[in-house]
Amino acid sequence: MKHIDKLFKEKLYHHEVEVPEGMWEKIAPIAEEESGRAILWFWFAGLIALLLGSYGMYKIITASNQEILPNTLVYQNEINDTQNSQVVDNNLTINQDQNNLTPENELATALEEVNAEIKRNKSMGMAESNQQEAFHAKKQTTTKASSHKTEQKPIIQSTSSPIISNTVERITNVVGVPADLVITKSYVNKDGSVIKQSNITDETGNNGPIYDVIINSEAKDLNAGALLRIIEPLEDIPLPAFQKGIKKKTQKGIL
Amino acid sequence: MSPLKPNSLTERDLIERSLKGDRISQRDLFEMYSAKMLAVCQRYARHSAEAEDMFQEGFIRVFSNLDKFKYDGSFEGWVRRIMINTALKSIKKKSFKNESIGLEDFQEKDNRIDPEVFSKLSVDDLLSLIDELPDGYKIVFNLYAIEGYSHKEIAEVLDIEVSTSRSQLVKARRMLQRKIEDLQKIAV
Repeated sequence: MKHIDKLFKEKLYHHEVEVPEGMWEKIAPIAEEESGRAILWFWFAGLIALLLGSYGMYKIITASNQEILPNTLVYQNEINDTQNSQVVDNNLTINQDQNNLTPENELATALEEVNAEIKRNKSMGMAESNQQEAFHAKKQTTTKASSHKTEQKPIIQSTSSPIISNTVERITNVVGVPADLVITKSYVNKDGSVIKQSNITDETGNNGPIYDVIINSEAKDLNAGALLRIIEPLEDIPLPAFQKGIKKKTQKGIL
Repeated sequence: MSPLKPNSLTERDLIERSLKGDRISQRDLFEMYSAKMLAVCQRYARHSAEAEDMFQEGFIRVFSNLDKFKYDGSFEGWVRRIMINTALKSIKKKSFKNESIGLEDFQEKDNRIDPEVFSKLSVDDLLSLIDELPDGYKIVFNLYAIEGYSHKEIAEVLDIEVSTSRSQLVKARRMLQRKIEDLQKIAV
């Protein structure tokens, strides 16, 4: 900094002058109005953020509800869809009591029985190896029984006129693996004929409706477990009217 | 030295109360800095009415943006910056011509002013010396020499070239020096 700059700064930087009277009175109302406007904007922005947040939450909740909709649909249909019961073999109609008697449940019951037996034997002084043998024998019996039961699970009955709706059925053989619940979908042409047919052929060689969602599949190669869902790719449905519209637009664009 | 704090409240207390809409604290803050800030405005303005307009507008901006003060630096420095920016906004940019500095300008001699003579000059004398400068010179000299802005900052604030800022400063100094030398001669 030059010498002349220093001399000026020393004398002028902290220099003060008398402020004319009434200056604050001129400033205060305008400053208050400005700050009031700022507060108003702040609240308005807050309100907008709140509304957006609520809308976002609503969207998230709606989306999660849609995700669990298939399950809901399953149980509603179990109770109400009497029409399906006619199409599918009576043995395949979903029955809550029957569901409880899965091989896993039977195994658990058997284990309980074995544990109770062990307890009884312990009190009677029975050898531990005998207890283990008893357990394995029981387990083998249970497994055999359950596999026999699986084999006996009936397959879909053929029908001359396929049901056109979203339905829920209990079937045994879909894409070659057993499953508890299946949502079926079919699509209808303008003339009323079904445009989507299953490529699964039953015993009589007829096609049934296609299966889109499988719940509780037992397919081991797909790491199936409880509540596993296998979503089959949906068939594309041609929409001639829509395609026509696109064509027209493109032509206009070219012109 | 910091200005007198009314009601023995700290500057921070006054700022926080002002933010809550306390009119008394707002007034106290105003009174703490008004005399200094009006002096700042007077250095940039061409006449007292313009200085008062700048001063009012500057304080309105201070109170509307008070929530943006983050205590990073001094409050006085923050208020001063707002005042200067407000003053510069109201000054037309036509005061500046984009001009490059010549080599002869860089070889500016730092002719020492006799401190005794300078001490005899009052603040009003100095202000009138600055006021006699052309607008461009006056603003650059105020910003660089008194406020401590760099040429880069001045160029950004005034939207001019850095070389223009340098040139204006050199010319302002030369003019002031000549005027003070004249005063020295009269005094002798």
